[in-house]
Amino acid sequence: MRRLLLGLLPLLLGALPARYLVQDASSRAFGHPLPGLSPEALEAFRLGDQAFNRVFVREDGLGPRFVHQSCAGCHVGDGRGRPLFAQRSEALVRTRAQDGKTPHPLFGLQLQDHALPGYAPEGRVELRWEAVEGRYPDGTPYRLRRPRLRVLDPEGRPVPGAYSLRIAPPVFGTGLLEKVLEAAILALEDPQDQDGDGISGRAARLEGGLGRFGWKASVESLLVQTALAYREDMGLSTPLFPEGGAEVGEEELKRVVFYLENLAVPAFRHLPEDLRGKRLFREVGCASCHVERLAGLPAYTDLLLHDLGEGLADGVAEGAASPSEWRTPPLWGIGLTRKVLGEEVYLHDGRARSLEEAILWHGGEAEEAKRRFMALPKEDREALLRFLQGL
Amino acid sequence: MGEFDPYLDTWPVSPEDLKRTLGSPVENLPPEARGFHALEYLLFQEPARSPEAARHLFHLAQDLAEKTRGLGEAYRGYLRETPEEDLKMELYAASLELAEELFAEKLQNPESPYAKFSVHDYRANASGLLKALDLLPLPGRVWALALDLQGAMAALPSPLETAWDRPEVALAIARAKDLYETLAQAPVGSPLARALLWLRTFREEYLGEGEVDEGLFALEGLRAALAGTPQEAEALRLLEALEAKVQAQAPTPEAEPLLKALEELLR
Repeated sequence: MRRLLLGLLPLLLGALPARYLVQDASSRAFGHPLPGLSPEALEAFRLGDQAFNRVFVREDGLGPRFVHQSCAGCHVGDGRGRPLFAQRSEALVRTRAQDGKTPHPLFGLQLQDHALPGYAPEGRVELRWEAVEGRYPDGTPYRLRRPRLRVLDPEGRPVPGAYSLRIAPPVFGTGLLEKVLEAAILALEDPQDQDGDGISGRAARLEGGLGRFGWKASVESLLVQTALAYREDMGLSTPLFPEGGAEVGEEELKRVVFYLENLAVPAFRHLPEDLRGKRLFREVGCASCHVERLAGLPAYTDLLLHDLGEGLADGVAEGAASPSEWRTPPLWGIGLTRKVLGEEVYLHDGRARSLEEAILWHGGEAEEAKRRFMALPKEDREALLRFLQGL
Repeated sequence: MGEFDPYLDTWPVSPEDLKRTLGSPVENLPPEARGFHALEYLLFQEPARSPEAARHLFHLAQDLAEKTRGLGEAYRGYLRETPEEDLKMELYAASLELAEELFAEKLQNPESPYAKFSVHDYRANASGLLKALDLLPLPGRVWALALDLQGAMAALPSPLETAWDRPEVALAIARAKDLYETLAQAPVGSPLARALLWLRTFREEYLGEGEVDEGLFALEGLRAALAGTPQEAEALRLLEALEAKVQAQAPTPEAEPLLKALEELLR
């Protein structure tokens, strides 16, 4: 019966006006409130927006070591950040000892690569890109890049360890994903690949519930995610992680969570000629993991962990995920990345500079789908990519 | 913009870090110790009196001028490269955001507290809004409200920093809110044009060719194009009735009135 109800849910929701979609294809497309909020809720949303954009300084408790000094500094325009390590970093580095599992003896779980004047950062990130070349079966050449990362101590010496580069993921639509019933996610699991389609997604089972957020689904709720970001990215304590006090009080923490819960999703911008691309998306097998509707939401994710093969493995275990496992990221709004960020960077470490490159990095469970994509004639590949750009 | 913004007007500044970093090379300073507000602090809050502090102030000003020039160049490049339709959409979205910021944030907090210059900043915002709206195809009502806002801004007391409870501030907040709400109802760039394209496809595929699946696909596209539009709820009622007709493979005379009603609604 439950399965039947879950099956019907998308149909029922599909029949309702999509009250979580907004019409905006500008650089501000990711920052809108859900349509229909009451005036009081809208006011709370605006306060949350201000808290999300708040720049912390020494006097507010920032650091002393940190990655950035505001939420919006990394989640640019409520979207993703770039693999950029500058005076303030838009990306971060997860750190482990050389076994890839235990926290790094010097840095713990994450590197703080900035510090207030008078303090030394934990280390400095040295990032270089290595070219990877290949060809489609039709002979068309392509050139990818993968990051080569070192962490240097204050004297400039490399520090051994397992390091994983992560760009900040988009935050819009996360409130909707948090509301998806666990049963709806679990219904998509097939850890033993019993249906034999080569896809064996599994839910990230954490102590506090199913993992939904972060590139490896290592966090179960927006509240925990937000408090962790304050602690790990900005060096700020909260009531969840007090450390002797709360530099960010409960009210402010809840404001940010409310903001995230109520961020809308930009409406898709497809034209009739994009239908071919949509069909190809299904036929190639992309929709096996990027499911078109999750509990009725056109998020293009199953929120499950999938093994994406060695090409993307980062050597770091996190939450329930192994080094080669990644949560299927939602694709809604992905076609507006360039508008919002000014450039395109995809996958957990921003190595892909186009959606085509992102597809070409898929391996493991997605190897077969990638192979089918690569075998398509060029105009079909382009049609599929145009469909993605309309999301 | 992201490369320049933190170095132009990061707010707040850190007075403690400003003091600690006095004399340090500007390029090594964090955003909260450089830019417009750092200069403002060193000019008006704790004026730099020593030669070292004066030199630092000079370097901060130089850095700000350089970053502003860089921003200007990047902006001109952006204008050259961006199609006009996209520019219109950006200008509309930015105007909407500025109107919202004015009533929700700016007119409730000082933005230039050391120099007590906030009112001039906000008046410049209102004038900028008017200039931006002038470039967009908007109904006259928006214009009238933008002029009202400019008038309310001109009437604000100065300095604003000591006059938050004056009725002129409440009036300016109300004017900015009126403008925001009216502007939000007059979007630039119509998603309905996309919806009409889907309807045309439906007409060709189902009524023209008798293709049921293609017709349903087109209606799915139409549903997505309608999302978030003011016409959505009414259009969906017609669309669902039409979908039922297609699924039942109803003949043209049964589908045509629904299709016409949809076309009329979306035009």
